[in-house]
Amino acid sequence: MTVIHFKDVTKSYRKHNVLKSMNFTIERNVITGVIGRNGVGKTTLMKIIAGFMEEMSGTVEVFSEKPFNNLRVSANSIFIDDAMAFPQAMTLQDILKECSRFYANWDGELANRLVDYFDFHRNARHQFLSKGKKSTFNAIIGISARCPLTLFDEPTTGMDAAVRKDFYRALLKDYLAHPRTILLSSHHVEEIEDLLEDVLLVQNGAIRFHGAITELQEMFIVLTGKHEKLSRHTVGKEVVLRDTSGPFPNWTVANSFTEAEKDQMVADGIIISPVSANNAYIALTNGPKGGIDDVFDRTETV
Amino acid sequence: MYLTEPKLFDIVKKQFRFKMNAHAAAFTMLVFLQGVSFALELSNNNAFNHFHEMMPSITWISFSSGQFLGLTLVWAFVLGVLITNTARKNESFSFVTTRLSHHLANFLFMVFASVIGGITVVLCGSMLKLFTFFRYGEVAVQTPGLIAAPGDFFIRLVTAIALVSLLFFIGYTISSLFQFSRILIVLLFLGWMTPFLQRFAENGIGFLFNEPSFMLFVVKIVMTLFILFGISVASTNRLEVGQ
Repeated sequence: MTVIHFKDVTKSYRKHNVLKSMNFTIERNVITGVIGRNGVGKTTLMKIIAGFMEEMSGTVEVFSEKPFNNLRVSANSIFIDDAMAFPQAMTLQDILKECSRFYANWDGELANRLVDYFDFHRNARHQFLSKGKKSTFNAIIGISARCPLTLFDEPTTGMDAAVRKDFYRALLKDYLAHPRTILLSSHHVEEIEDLLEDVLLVQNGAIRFHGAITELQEMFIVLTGKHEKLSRHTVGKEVVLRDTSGPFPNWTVANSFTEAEKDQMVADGIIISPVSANNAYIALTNGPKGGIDDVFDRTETV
Repeated sequence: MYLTEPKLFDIVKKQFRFKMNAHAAAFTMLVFLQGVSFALELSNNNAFNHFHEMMPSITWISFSSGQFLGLTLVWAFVLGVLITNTARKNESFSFVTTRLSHHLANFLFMVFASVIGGITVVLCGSMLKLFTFFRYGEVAVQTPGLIAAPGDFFIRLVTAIALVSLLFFIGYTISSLFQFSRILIVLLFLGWMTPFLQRFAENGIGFLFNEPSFMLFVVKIVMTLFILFGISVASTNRLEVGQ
């Protein structure tokens, strides 16, 4: 069953086109990571799905309905980010109580256990929590609400490393016990790669890649060897990253090599290794500008 | 995971309860305001001494419950502005809602708060009478109480509720229009200075308050409330959340 369907969706703020032409479909009970550089429109995309914002053109369907101002979509989805607002007068306990009334699948037991585990004071006010604590509390709501469509927009903002790890673990455990459709946006691909089934890579207001994370990795390979050898073997190939910080240059290259070419490189002393998900993501989103080294290394471009 | 099929009425009910919890402090504020105005009224010695050579002197002490209504109207207006601002709207959207259910819940909340405000205003008047009676013994009362004239008391009650709710909805509508377009509010404010809009406002106030028939007055107020609420819903129904 299709949960989210985008067809030629555009969105702009005044003159700035954030989403240019979004086309994708997300199936039921899949955890999808929404990744992309800062400001590419991940949040806008998720807010359109949640029904907070309205697309300018194209078709958006969530549970086969247009999400904007839609009660059915609102009741079956939850949008979690670090800017979630709660009334000043309400304590954390009050907020949890409200959640239990609004969300049909709310697991109050789980919420209470998580609140205790993460050392929250129930009478604390949401607005006085630290940034990381706020994110943690919002994440607890997101997990415990068990909405058929759960949207996490950079849920780990401000969390320390231990809490981030715990959060991903809690999310995975609860997802396995109660499968649902989850969208999770993050900059830290290396942290979420074990959790994700699919990635949705947003770039320049469009979907650059949508598929399994392993497929993303297979698009590139890493070659390690002497500079002149690498140059010789990569003639006509797309070199996306040049890392010169190690003892030997490390080049990330688009994987368009034939088996024979690879054998030749190995015979020539070049080490071929798979690319990490994070580097594949960076390689794919770097674009023609190259890496940060290219900004400083002027001889390369002149 | 199965999908829930929400009913609008059900969500409005939940949102209403949520708003009652969220705005509980508003009622504390009302009690505080009325307490303060009560104390001010009592401490304010509205004594008028009348001396004449040939006559015994007369000291005239008057108390009025007018300022209870005045302060409650200010309270209603400010609260009306506050409960629909962007921050409050975002809070609603942290839970299940649409723009319509958010407005409907606010509508219920304002009606409820107006009833509370109206009743307390009238009861403050009764309390003032009681207090002056204990302090001065005999008093001349301008407005008879519940037992002496239940009809009058009822009319006072409904009028107070109507006035409070009117101020609530005016505040609410201004705040909604402000979200819709800030320029519009500036234009309205500037337009206020023009004779045309002033006459329009005067006529509007006359239309509402120079009504001899009580029933018609209530009908006019209720209609005005619905028109104001309609403007609020229509002007904000396409606005986006959390920008």
